[in-house]
Formats: sequence, C-alpha cells, structure tokens
Amino acid sequence: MARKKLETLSEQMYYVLLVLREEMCGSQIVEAILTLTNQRVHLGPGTLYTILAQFEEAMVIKETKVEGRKRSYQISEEGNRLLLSEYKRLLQMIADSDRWVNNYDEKEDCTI
Amino acid sequence: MMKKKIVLFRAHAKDKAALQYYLNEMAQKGWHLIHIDGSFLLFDKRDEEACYYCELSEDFESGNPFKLSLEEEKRKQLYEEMGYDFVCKFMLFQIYKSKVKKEDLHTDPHLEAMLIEKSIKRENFYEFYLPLILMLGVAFIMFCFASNLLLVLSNNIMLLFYLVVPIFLICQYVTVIKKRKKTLTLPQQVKSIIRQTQSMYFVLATILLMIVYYLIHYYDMKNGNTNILFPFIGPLFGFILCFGIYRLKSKMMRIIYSIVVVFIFVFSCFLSFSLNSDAKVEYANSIFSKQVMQTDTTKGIYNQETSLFLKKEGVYVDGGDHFFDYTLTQSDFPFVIGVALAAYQTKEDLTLLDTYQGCDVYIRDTSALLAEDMDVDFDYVPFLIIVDDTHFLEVYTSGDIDKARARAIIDDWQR
Repeated sequence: MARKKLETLSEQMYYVLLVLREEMCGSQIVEAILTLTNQRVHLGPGTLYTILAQFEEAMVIKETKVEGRKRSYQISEEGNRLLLSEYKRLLQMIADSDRWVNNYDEKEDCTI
Repeated sequence: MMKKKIVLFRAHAKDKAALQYYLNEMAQKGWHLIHIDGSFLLFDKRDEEACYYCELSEDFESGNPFKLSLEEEKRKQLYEEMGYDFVCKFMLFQIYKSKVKKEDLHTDPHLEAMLIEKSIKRENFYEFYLPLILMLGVAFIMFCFASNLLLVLSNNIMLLFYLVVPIFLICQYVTVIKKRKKTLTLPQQVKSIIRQTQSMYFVLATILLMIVYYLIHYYDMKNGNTNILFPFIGPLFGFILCFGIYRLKSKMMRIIYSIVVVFIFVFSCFLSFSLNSDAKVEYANSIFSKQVMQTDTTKGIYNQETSLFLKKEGVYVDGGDHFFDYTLTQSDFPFVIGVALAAYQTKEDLTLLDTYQGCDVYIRDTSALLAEDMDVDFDYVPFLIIVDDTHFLEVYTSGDIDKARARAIIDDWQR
C-alpha cells in the first residue's frame, strides 16, 4: 500500500528518508540535508511537515520521541526497503542515461 | 495615535500568496497582524521586525475556525522548532512569523500545489456546496408546505432532519479516528476527541434538542394538542445554537450565547403550551385544509397529530401520513385501501348508517363527492366514519359502494 502512494520519491523526500537513518528532529533534518547536499537542497518547514506526515501515515518512518516541541523520527524497515528500491531506480535511470551520454560523447569527439 | 487597525481583506485559499504579500507590506509600515476574523484583519502598531508566512490547513476537524486541530498543532510545533512563531488561525489560514527573513514555508511546488488544491476543495465545500444543500433542503420543505405534502411526509422529514446532521458529523469523526489510528496512541486519540469538542457540541446539542422536542411533543399530543410548526422549533434552535458556538471565539461569549438561545427555546415551548388547543387545531386546519381529529383512544380511533389509527382486535391501520402504506393487508380489511384525514367540515349529503363504538357512521353520496373538486384525484370512493360534529375519519374504499355494501362492511368490521 505504501509503495503505491510513494512509488517514486521527489528529491526532497529522498533526502529526508536518507538522513533519517539516524534519529533526528525537524530542524536537524533540514541541517543534515543542507550539509549532505552542500547547501543545494533547501527544505521549508511546510514541505518538511507534509513529507513527514505522508511518511508517517505510510509507516515509512516512525516517531521515536517527543521532547517538548521537538519530535524525533527515524526510518522504519519499510522505509529502508523504500529507500533501497528508490536508490536502485535512480541507478537504473543513470545506467539508462549513461548509454545516451556515451553515444553523445562519442559523437562530440568525432565532430571535434 | 491609533494603535490598532481593522482591514477588510477577503482571502480565499488561492489567494494565499496575496495575503502573505499584504501582511509583509503592512509589517514594513509597522502594522503587525494580531488576529483574523472572517474577512477582517486586525493589526497592531508596534516597532518590531517581522516577516510573515501564510499557511493553508489540510484538515479542519477542530470544528472551530480559530482553534488548531491536533494535526495543525503538530505542524505548529515543527514550525516553532524551526524558528517560525504562530500568530493566529482562521478557517483554512494559519499565519506564522519570524524575526528575520527565513526560508519560505514550502520549497516543493508540487507538494504545495497539492495542499492548495485540497484547501480549495474544502473551501468550495463550505462556501458553495454546503449552502447549496441547505438551500435545497429549505426549498424542499417549502415545497412540501406549498403542496400539502408535509402532512404526508412531516414525520419522515423531521426524522431525516434530526438524523442527517448527527450522522454526518459522527461519520466524519469516525473517519478521522480511523485515518489516524495508525499514527496515534490511545492517549493521543483521547486528546483528539477532546479537541473535537466543537463538533461534539454540535452533535450533542442536536441530539439533546431532539430528545427535548420529542418529550414535549409527545406530552403535547397526549393532551390532544396539535401545533404543526412545533416540530421545526427543535432543529431550528439546534442549528442556531450550534452555529453560534462554532462561530464565537470567546468561551464566555459561547456560554452566554448558549444560555440565551436555550432560554428562547424554552420560552417558545412555553408559548406553544399556553396557546389554546382549539386555536392550534384551527391553525393546523388552515394550513392543511384538513380536519384534525381528537378522540378518545379507548374508542379505538384516535389521532396522533397527522397519524390516524383504526383499531380492531389489536391490529392498527396507520393512515394519515402514509396514504397507501398499511400494516393491514387487503385480505384483513378488503374494503380498506386508504385512511386519511378528511377535509370536510359538514355532514351534508351524508346518510347515517350506524354507530360504531359510540361514533356515528355515515356514508356520503359518491356523485356529490366526485362533483366537488376536493383532493380526491383518483377513482376511490370515501367511506366515512363520523366521530363528532366537526371531526371525522375518512376511509377510502375501492370501486363503487352502496349503502348495503357499506352496511356489510360495518357489520364485518364490528364483528
């Protein structure tokens, strides 16, 4: 069921899942993604909340603790499977693209 | 110097960006938002650096336009953790602010678009479809009034009126709990129930008024009184009460408002009782052009507002508001195909047949009846049981019926 809804992940969803291999709260997730992507991927709180709510509903992540306003989350087994499957899908996309890039490079070389 | 300012700003879900832009523009001029109520924005003049962010709610389950639901509370906690402070909420909008300019609330246009789409659907429901359904409902009741169908359907309509609102709200509530069962622990579910008190107020107030109405109405009917408009009082006040509770922000105002509405309700009930019974019957007759019977139940024939019952050996024929829907079959009573309140005021053209349990029983000249343009739009001939000078029961029969046949029927019935 979860897979159907989250069949493919957006870039921000993927990174949220990736950093949640460790237990983190909201602000830590944003910081971790900024560090991991070298400040490339920014995450607004609205987007983060929507992603977390979707993941939680699909049981891809679980809430681990609540300390005052801070809620911490961590990836679940289902989430690990989803992350791995998405990783493989991305690799497949890169492999498919590689054939085109190699051909393109060869053509470029010939032109030169 | 003016410290506060109220501005009229009608924002829809699709105007989220416009509202956010307007709030920031006002903030630059030193006007900071305090509160939103309907189309009015309340600003306060103060020296403060703030950047405003506008967010749309996905759910509206708290039932209070100013109160955050459990989901919204979770959202607020996350925002506050990330440095965005909650300002206020009204309906679909939640306003946050930060002291310095920060990342916009949404960085994924696709997710934001989905959120806006959901909110617009919800807004359309509350602002278009719900009023439309209510208007159609009122139009239907008016139509029933105009066409005298209310006499036939009144009890059923009232039942629907009473049941639809609570059933709808209970279903909504159950759906929410079901949806969240995966993520909420039992204490959180209990908290969620408490959070939904506004919705529960609505259900409880409607059910309470429904019970009160039935108790009073039952007592009223037991005394032979009939007030056709009375059934509307309960649901009407229920609606007014719930709408006010839902709309008012202050707890004290809600309590005062509830007391006033309940007082008016009780007062109207008192007025209803104090009305003369005959005046009520006359009023009912003037609305429906129907004569209402008031007889002793021990005679076997009695009236319960719009329902008539014929009793024979413990078997009841329910008529009045169910013209062709009986517990008796034709084999039980071959001649009876309908029982209705009669519309006639006099005993002209009637021939006395017999008396039945203290009631004079007449038969009417069929040709005279059919010549009159009364509400007999089928070829059935009425067989009349006169109870007293002004009130009588009309039993429709199939085919032609002569005096001898009527007599045989009476004999059969009395046997």
